[in-house]
Amino acid sequence: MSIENLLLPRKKELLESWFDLFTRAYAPEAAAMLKRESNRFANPVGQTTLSSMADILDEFFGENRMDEILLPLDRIIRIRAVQDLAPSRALAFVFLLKDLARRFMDTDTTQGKVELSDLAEFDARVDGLALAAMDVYSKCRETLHEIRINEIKNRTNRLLLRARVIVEVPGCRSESLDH
Amino acid sequence: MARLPKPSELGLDHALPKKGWMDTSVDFRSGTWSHPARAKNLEAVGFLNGREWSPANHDWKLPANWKRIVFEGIRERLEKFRSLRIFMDVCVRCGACADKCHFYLGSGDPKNMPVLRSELLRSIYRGEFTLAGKIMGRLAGARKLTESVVKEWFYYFFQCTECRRCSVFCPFGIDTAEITMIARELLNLLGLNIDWIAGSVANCYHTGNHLGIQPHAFKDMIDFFVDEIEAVSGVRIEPSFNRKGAEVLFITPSGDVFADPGTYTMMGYLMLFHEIGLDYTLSTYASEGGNFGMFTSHEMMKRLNSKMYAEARRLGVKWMLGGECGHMWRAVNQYMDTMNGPADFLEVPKSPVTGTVFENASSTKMVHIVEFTADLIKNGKLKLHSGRNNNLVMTYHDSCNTSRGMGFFEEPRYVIKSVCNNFYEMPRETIREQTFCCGSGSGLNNDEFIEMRMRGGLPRANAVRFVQERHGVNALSCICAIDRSALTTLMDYWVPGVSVYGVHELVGNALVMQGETERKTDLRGEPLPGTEAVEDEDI
Ligand code: SF4
Ligand code: SF4
Repeated sequence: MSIENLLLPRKKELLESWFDLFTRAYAPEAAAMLKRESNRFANPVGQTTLSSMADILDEFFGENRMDEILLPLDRIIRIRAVQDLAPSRALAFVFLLKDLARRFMDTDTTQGKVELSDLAEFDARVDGLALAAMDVYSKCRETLHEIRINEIKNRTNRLLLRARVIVEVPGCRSESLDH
Repeated sequence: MARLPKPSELGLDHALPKKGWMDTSVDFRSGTWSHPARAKNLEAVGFLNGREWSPANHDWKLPANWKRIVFEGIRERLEKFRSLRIFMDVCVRCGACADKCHFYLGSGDPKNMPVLRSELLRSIYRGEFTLAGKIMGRLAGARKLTESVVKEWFYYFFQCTECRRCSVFCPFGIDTAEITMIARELLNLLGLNIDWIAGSVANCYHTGNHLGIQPHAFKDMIDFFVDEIEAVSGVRIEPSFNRKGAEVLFITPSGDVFADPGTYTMMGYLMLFHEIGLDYTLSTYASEGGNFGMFTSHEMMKRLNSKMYAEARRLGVKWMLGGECGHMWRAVNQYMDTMNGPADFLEVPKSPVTGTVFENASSTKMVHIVEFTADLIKNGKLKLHSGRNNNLVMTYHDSCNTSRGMGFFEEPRYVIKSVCNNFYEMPRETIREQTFCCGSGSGLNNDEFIEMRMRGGLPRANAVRFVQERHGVNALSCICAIDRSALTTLMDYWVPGVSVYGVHELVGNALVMQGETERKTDLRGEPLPGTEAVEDEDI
């Protein structure tokens, strides 16, 4: 029996444990706050992560469509990417799914319901998720560099234009005004 | 050699036994601080102990007598500011403020909880200035001043935007923003400021504005706007500079003159003034509304602010009008009168168009432009075609300073709704007095520490995303120059597809001017929505 099918009835429990493990990466006070506060505006990190993890699991146990998984993955990783964490630390939460699955299937495995090949298949899916997470992470970091450069440009662009250090392509602006 | 950690170990770091907060010192990794103030920028205004140093180095080259400087600094301020003494004594550590700071919400770092942030200073006050603290030490939450404490101060007091959100929730009204201001003053005594602030202060003091733009370039920029306004509207306007005898002196943050998208807001002001025939002048001497002095010391804030009244007196104007800015208004509304007043040489501001007397500004003699415009609209003095902003689905960000520092909530909304047909509020707990900071205020809007700004701005962005998803919001308006620039960056990271507008840019777009030609674009040069006729609609 595939691991997904075994875990499916316990999805809610799995989500709670996954989120719990995630919060334990923060200091105890912060972890408690992330779990306690259910208002999404008072607790953006906790609530965004929890709802995105739920979306990821839904898809992971369902059709596992790339596009549907990328969005919730992005929601979590976009936060982790600016939290002063090494990439390994920022993305560790994805791999935790492997440990969790094994913990949840303790009895199933011993009863022989789970084959080695099932485990390998499940692990491969988690690895796929992790690889997608890496892409998302590096995209977030790229965006960070881009917006930083844009901000510097916005700050002084006018001055440089005025000082004729930058010269716009002649006619461009007036063209857009004339038509 | 260390073995490779497993994912579970990476994830569960904090579940391991940890040291208490007093024993955890800051790890200054690259990219986790703002560049330190350069000696020349501190010296330019007479600040002491300027030197070349880096937070990354173990040795911060503190002056030999640094402890004495800090002790005397604290003592002097305890005597001078009764509020500080109260804030140091009365906190009961109830925790009501703990999860109200955007930096804590975004980072999860406990020392960003307002209660712990102020405890960084309070513990030293207890340990060095109170008997109980001296005797009982840690039991009384007290500790001794060490170099590591100073480093921690530098790290965390430059991770507070002085936004005052925490104070709204404190039963005693303890204002962590003011504690941060004092702590930054103490750091500044040791030459420990950040260059984004120190450089702006030095420029402002010597040249008149943060960027150090000289008078001719300032004028040149305004002339540039005059051309652009003519290109969009066909109307040629003629602003004046340093003109003696004008009725009104207009002062705005220099970001409106030099930085996009603030420049479009500047065009909006100029168009409005022209249309109502306001007798005003701009100053190239008081060419900065912002006041980064506020982030170094009370004295420096006073020195920079003094230019406003000095220029008003020199030019012989009757009253002053101020542009859309956040911390400028904190300085003007909260401190200017006591610092540099009384401005008894000026008159109580009275709108020459509507006759409204601005009694609320009867002591400072300075009126907020949004209030001025709201009064014009209320009295039916402006011809507005709000359809020109129909491509925008708008929401509004209350800047910390104007909302919590001035209680300024209705006027901006009134003006926006008069010039935009599509407006949606963000959720109640994220606006007005509970507004979330942009994450870049109080001189922290530099680019080197952008990660901190992005996580600090997350709660604000999160609320914008909500209205984007629910109502299709694509525009965020604000009345602060730092916001115009910082929120643009914030949106690009968290909520792509949302652009940032100053309120008077929207006014400029909607304003139907006498003698104007048919407008084809907005002030940004973007095509106007639809091709609705301009005639007498929405007047
Ligand atoms: S003033 Fe603002 S930034 Fe500072 S501690 Fe309070 S909530 Fe945080
Ligand atoms: S809410 Fe006020 S009294 Fe309570 S911990 Fe915060 S600062 Fe102290």
